[in-house]
Amino acid sequence: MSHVADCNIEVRDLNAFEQAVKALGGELIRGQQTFRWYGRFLNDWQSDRAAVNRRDPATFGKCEHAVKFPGINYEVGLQRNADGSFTPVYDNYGGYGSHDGQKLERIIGVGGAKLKDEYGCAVTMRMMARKGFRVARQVDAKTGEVLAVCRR
Amino acid sequence: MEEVIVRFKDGQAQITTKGFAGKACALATADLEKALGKKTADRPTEEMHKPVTTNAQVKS
Repeated sequence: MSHVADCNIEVRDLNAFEQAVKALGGELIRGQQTFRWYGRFLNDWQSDRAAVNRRDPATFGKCEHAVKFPGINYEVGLQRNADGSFTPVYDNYGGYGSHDGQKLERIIGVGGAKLKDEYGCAVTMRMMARKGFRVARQVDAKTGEVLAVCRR
Repeated sequence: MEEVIVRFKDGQAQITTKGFAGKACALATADLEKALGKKTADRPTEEMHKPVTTNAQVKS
């Protein structure tokens, strides 16, 4: 079993990505070149979200930086793209024992949607702060939206 | 006061601006739009059509 997914995120600002990971309660471990997953590619997940549609399965489990969440065994790997950006990749397989990809996906969102929201928020705050705005992150309790509020 | 609020949900971003006149809004958010990805909709507010005041002096 291996359900390796790649997120639709182009990470170009690693510091903003680190901020996003922290907002979700995780830690970016720079320079960690492997990430925990099922460990073997079995080609048993047919989905548009499957990373095998876009990536060589020989790269699964390999990365340049990794993300760890407390109490979760599986990790997210940041794989470098040809243009220098990074794409987060993770295995969403399993809800038992050390195979806990479903728990990981609940934190980062399906396809990394929550991670993408937090990364967008962090990028916005950093960019607008450089333009002289006062910036703050808020969460709308009703909608669950993450907000970057920028004023000057 | 100029205000930019960006709302993020399910991988989508919505930018709302207040207090900008004319093209100042587009200038303030251009880099942001580029960084956040492809724009799918744009609804200018009434403020965009307000006249812009500057400190430039006209000599006759």
